[in-house]
Amino acid sequence: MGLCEVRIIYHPVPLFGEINMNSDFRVINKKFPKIEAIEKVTGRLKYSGDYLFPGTLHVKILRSPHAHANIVSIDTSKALELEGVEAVITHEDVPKHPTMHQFLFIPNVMYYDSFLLENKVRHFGDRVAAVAAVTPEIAEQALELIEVEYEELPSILDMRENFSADAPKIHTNAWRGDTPIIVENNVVDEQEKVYGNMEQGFAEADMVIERTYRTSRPNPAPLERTVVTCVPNTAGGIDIYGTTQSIHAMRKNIAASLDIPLSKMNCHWTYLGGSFGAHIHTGWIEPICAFLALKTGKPVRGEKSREEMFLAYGRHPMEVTVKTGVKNDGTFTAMDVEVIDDTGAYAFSGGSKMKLTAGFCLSMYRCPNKRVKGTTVYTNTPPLCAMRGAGNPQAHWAVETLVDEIADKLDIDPVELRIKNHIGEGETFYGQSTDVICDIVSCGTEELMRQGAEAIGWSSRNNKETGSPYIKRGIGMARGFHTSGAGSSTPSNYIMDYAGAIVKMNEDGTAVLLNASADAGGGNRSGYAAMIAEELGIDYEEVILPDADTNTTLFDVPTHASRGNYGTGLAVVEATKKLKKTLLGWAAQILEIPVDDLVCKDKRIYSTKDEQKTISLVDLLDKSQARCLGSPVGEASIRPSSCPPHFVVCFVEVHVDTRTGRVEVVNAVSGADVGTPINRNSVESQISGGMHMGIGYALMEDTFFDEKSGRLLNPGFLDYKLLTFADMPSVKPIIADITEPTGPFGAKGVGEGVTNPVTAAVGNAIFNAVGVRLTDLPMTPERVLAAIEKKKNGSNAAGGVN
Amino acid sequence: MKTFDYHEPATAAEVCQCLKEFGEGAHVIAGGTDLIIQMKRGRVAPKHLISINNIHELNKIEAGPEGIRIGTTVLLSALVDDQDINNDIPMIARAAYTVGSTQVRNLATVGGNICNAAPSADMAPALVALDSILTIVGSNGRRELPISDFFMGPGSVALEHDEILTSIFVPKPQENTRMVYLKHGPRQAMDCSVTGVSLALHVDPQTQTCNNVRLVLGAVAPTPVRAIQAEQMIDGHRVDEIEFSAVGSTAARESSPISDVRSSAEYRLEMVSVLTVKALETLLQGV
Repeated sequence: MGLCEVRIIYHPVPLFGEINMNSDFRVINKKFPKIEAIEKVTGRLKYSGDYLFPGTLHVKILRSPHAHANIVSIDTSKALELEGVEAVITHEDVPKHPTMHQFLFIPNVMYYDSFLLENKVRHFGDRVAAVAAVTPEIAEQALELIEVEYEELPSILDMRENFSADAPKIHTNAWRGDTPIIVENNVVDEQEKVYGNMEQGFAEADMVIERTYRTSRPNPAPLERTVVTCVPNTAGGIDIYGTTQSIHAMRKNIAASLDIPLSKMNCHWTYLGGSFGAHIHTGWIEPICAFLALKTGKPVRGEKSREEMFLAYGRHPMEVTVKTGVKNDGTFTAMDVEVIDDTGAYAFSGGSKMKLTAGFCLSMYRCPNKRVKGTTVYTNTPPLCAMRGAGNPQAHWAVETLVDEIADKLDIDPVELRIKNHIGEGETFYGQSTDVICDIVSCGTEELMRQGAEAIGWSSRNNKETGSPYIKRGIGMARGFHTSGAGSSTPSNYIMDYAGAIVKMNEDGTAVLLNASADAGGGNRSGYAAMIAEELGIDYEEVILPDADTNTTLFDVPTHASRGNYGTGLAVVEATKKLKKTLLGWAAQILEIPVDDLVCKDKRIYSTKDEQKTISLVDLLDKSQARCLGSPVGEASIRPSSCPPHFVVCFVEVHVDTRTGRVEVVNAVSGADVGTPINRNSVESQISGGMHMGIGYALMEDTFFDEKSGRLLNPGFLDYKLLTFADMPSVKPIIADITEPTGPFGAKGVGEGVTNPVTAAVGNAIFNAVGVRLTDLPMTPERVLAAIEKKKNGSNAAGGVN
Repeated sequence: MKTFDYHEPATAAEVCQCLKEFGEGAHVIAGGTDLIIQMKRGRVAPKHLISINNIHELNKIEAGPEGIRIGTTVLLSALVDDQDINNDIPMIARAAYTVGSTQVRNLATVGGNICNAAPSADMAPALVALDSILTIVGSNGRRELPISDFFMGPGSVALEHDEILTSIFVPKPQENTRMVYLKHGPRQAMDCSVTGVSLALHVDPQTQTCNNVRLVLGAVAPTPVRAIQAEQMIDGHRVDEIEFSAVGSTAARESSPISDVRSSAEYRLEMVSVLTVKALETLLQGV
């Protein structure tokens, strides 16, 4: 009721929208505010950094001024003498035990290549030592008193340099599972898979075209910075309040990294202020704070500065070479993809992005002969991670740019070439690497392509003129998909996916969900409330979602791979069904009618045979409590057996200034096949947010390093360019009218797909406007202008600029 | 950030006194949009911060028959909104509008933008193009200085340690003066200039001849620079005989940009030329 009053004050336009399409649903497939919306906009909601404890020590990390160096000596004595400093730790003080960062991979393929602190630094800003002091200022002052002698080593900043014989060795030893491995040539991982006969495929082609594309290194840039507070408890363990995409995975990571019993730690759930992959892994600051909390017996808090956020995360830069054979009628005969992938100085995500890129390339277009080959290497740059799309934005940039060029060369409409060849219903999808596979049972691609083309004015794309003779107009498109989780028909040998939920009902008919799934702002938690309300016939506001912890929830893998709605949703629905079964069973006893005749509706249980035979939930709960029937509860822990792709299309209109090279996206249409939209507000927000990240990736988001020192040159929002509101076009969202048979209420994912095709759509629109194709991201004014001038001077337009 | 003492003197003279007394450890603060960031990063660590925000006479815009006097702590957002500035020297309002965001402009001051002396500062080329005169007060008294003599290099200006800039006088341009400030950055807002070009000129309504030309380039040299040779290709010439692209290339030759994280030097050179041509189109062809 408080919610209603506040809503009237804050929202002159009600957030609850009209029923759309599938009107059988009472709650879902409509527009409703997130459960935490009012708390968020009024500042009352607690993020990880808002948990404060008396007597907390503050941690600061001493960071390397070199890209690659051995630590010859460290003297911490002066720092320890500073008043207010309670602990200083270096590599000499920490467990000699490899640290685990991403409990998501199957344990026997988990890659270990680091320790909490080491006597070697591998990138500018790498961890050297940690100080815990009574204030952050004293901790910072203490850092200046630590004396370190470094022996500088030659470094590699560009992944291609690894392929020279005398390349310096960044790592020499690592472990895969329990097995020690020798790292050669800084190669973290490699794979090659062949489907069909490549030679025959290329022989059958009328045209063979090969291009190399390079992607940049953007930062996920969540608004919330990483904070962790580790609080020793009376039982000899620690309570942890951290910024993570999975409290259970974080607990596993910290326990493994410090080699202490899992049950000693309890990780608390909090909302995230954005994530985009940044918090899929646990970095070092969390186990360092846990270690210092155990050492000092005091609460210890670590908080990353924005610069440290830039030194901790980023999307893998890749070089993707695609060679395609195609017949004159637009039939593909062979597709050969080779990927070189940079994982940074530590393999948090390791070769996983390269493997995902391979699977996604296989899932784009029908072609009987395909080969995917990839190599992941280290560089002396900050470690990289998953970032919205996890290997798929790179795959889309390469394949969707090349397919557009093929359409142009064959004089086939790019929309029609894609409709002819795209992989859809009845075909195989590789959701997370080539080892996570499902059969596609729903696909709204064609519907979205037709509607999108209509909405952008596709037929007007030959009109290049704007009001200015120097500014040319173009329309481009690209399509694609992302997975919904990492479920597979048989459990993957590579990546885990399972979820758990406990749903109980209070005596007043409200329901409570105990679940660990992270909500980074995507609204999946509100989705669970809607699913529970829908299933039980109660109001959305009557579902309570406490901020639980690892002690009270079932294991749930990180909220990643657009799996929140789908994977965890399946567990939530299953648990709710169990709860409902108990309620119906009790109602059958009390009403003395067969349980099969009963349904939940409008907070009551009705007989489907005779609507007069009914009991309210509250009445039922009173009576069952008096009879001591127990507490109504359902639980489920489920491994999804599919990873249905949510398909997307992207159409953009651009203005290209031929004198400055500046590209402005002036209009955008984004279509998504998300199955049943659980909350249309959230789906539309994911679409516009995904377009924002996609256009940023296309035009400006990137990080740069000093060629000599390896120093990050733009570690903040002054020179790391995200699109502002003023730079965003209006985005028209289109949601396909599709149901996914395997999904909760027919839902699939939505979070990542929208971003994937945006770069290629923008690049294809630039080609439409001015006739040049770029191969490297981002398409900065400087690169676009260089390509335009190269074309003017008569060089081959294709190939773009480097 | 290191701890510091904070002072709020009531007059400019007291500010100079404080600066003299506290020496090198003292730093003036107005909007703080540059300084606080530098302090948080540990690049500067003043022991004394001397606020000039409470000195009312430094915060006024006064329009007179000779020109407009702008106090040093006038907010950029005030420049954007001021009626006299928009009427007489609209380029100043426009340059102010291109800085940062609404939030930044509501804190940042015109004096801060000048005294911080970032090569990319947007106010500098516009104020130089209008022959602005700075009033500087120090413990030894008051002096006036043409703004073109003020900038020494990145972050360096012609102020003694105990001196502060108190106001900027912008002479009223003669009738039929046209002016424009153009800025190039990757975004619509929130960008430091990759290149900024300020062009002011007078067009004789009878002869259609240009004179009193000022072409000032920003972010392409250690300080804002006048492209004197390019100016000469406009000055004394009839509107229809000026070769825009030749003026642009000459202006580019008069700049000396560096490569940095925002742009390569080559691209900046090209943008000097492009923005110069665009400025000429804007003022002489109404494009």
